[in-house]
Amino acid sequence: MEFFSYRFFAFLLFTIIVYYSTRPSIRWLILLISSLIFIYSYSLYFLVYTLLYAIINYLIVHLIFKYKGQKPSKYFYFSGIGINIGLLIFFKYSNFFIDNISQLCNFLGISSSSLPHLSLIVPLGISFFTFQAIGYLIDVNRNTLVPEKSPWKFILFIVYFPKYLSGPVERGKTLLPEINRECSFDEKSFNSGILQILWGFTKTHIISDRLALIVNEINHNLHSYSGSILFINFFIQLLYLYFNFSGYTDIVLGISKLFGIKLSINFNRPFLAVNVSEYWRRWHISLTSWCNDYIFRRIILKKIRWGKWASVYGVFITFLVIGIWHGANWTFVILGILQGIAINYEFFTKKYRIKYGSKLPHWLNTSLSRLITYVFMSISIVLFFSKNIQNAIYYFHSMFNFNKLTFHTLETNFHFSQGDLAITVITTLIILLSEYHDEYKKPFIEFILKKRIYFWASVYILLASLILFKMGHSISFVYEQF
Amino acid sequence: MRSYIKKNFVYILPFLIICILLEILLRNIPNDYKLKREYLDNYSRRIEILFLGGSHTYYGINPEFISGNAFNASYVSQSIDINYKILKKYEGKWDSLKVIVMSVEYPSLFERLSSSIESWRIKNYNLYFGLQLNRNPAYYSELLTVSFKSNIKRIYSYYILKHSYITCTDLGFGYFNIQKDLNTSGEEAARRHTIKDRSKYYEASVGILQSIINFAKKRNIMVIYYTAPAYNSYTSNLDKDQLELMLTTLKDLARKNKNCYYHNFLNDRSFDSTDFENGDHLNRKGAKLLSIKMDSLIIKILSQQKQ
Repeated sequence: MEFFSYRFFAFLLFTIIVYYSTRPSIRWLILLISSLIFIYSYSLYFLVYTLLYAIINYLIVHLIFKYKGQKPSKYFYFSGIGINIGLLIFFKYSNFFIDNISQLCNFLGISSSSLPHLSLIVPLGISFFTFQAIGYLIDVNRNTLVPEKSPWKFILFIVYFPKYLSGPVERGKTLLPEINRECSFDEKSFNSGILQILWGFTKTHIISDRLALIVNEINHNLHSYSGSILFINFFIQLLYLYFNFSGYTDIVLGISKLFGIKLSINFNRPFLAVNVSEYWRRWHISLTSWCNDYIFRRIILKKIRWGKWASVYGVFITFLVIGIWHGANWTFVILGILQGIAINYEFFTKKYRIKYGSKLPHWLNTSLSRLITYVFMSISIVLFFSKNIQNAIYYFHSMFNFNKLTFHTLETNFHFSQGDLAITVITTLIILLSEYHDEYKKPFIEFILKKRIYFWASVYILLASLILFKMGHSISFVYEQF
Repeated sequence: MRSYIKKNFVYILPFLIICILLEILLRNIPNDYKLKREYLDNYSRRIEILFLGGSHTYYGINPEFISGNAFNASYVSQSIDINYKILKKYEGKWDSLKVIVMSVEYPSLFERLSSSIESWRIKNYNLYFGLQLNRNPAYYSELLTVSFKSNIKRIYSYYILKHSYITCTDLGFGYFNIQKDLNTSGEEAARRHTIKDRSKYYEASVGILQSIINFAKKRNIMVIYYTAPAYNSYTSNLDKDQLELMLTTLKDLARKNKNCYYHNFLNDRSFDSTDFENGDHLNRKGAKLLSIKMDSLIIKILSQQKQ
């Protein structure tokens, strides 16, 4: 069920009506039933898998808690981690390993043919809810969280439909209290949700879908392009990914607000970051904070005797995991290593950078820092979108062969008109300027929510924009593939 | 929640009013479906020869050149299941009907309007033809099926510019306005009409064709299935297996059913480049020629039947 469809709108409307018609103590049950229906609309296989997965994790967590302080607790804990990671590796990475084993065998002359791939249907959202469940297991094991008693509420924690497909990666500490809270209808939260949904659709269906005309065409037919168009695409790819993913997250958070449930913020104006470390504190926050809490800090604790090298090691491992989480490809491994190099570079050069940066006017220093960060992330995103390392090398090699690029080329090759350019530029500027405003002043949404007339005027403006400027066809959410 | 709705209703109301108004304006624009439905509602009892099918019949058969009381009830992308439903809709009213002529084209046995990119047309059958093809509420609304921009353009075009959306004559014959290069359009159409999964609708389609024959048999009506002529840029790019299956199926039906005939005009050499609008559709000149040929065929079949 696509979010931007009449079917989903009817489903959401019906769920909201039933939700607020029932007593607060059982509203979580309405969300559970709706979530199961939502997953079933994709496939019975996904529903069965997710339910079994949730039940197994529920049982393991309770066994860990029951045998707290005793040996069995450790066995259940490591079994639980093993099962979760094992399933993730099996579904997402088995064919990657098969490919690499085939290549190694070919290289060593053991075999000349490729090993057959496994025909697997990867459960939707597996990367997200697996990390969610692992985090929950770890929190219970560390005694920082008491396991949820109700198996049904735990299942809801896993299958909660707004975040099921592409996150955020929620924690037991934050989402379960929201599920357990008997929330009554809150007009401000509801209106905020509506605005956030419309804002998210604006990002995805007006900007991202237009940029996709160029980005997707180039990434699907990379070797047909070189020079100026690759250079331009280098800068717009990151924008495309941001508007696609953050727009989707806005829709998810907005839908959840309609039910009075707060989900974790996933983006915090990443283009205002002045260095790569800060960028990752503002981009896909739920994933990076998860990795920070459950991987980086653990490594620091375990390798405390290494001193500052523990941080270096921790950063590399953490970003390697972040890279690999995205997919079974060497490009993601290199992407992770690149982030590790950048962050460690920043760590070791912080003093010098501050020293030399302070010699420049503050605004210039900040602007240059943001630009350098943007360029570095754009380099990383080339790896993100490349099918393999050879394609990435081709990209970097070819993008500086500048040639003449006209609107006619954009229209012919990418169906990207001057009108599309104007709409994309204007809408992008509006969104980025509003983010800049919100960074330093009270968020604009607070002003809109003060009066009903401001709220409805904003709703109508956003609706009219969507109706007039929405692309004819929608591109899927990029992170749905993870 | 109730008080929220009460307080905000005044802000939601303009949106609802605009939507209702637009829906009414759109539904009042005269269109081909309404025209055909009205004709069938009023004159089905008098129709002696009924033409059904898709765009190849819509643009290919002009009832003016058919002897007797003929009507062209076909339309663009009207798949065979819909043709059968039209026939069934007027079940008790075919008092004068002698012949049902339906085009069965290269992709006809393997596709449905409901699962094609033209599925938005289903709302026209639901709203204007009264066929109720599905239960999806979106297909009972102009606003929900077609993009808002297209709808506004239509309203502006009809009510302000006074542009007509009728593209057929009173007897249902469609007229083209856009000419395309015969070679490229023929190749493109052949590619578009070649179906990968032929098993999905095939059995059901054969069942429908047989049902039409049975329907006609009970009422002593002849059924003529035919395949319309096409330019060689189309015919030379057809998948042999798909074509062969279609031809064999139709020949089989004609062989097994005494009230059924099949005629293949696909490679008829009497049609040349001056008869085609594009690679697989006839222009007015070509439609006249096909209509005259069809008329001769109908007369011959009816006279054979009398004997």
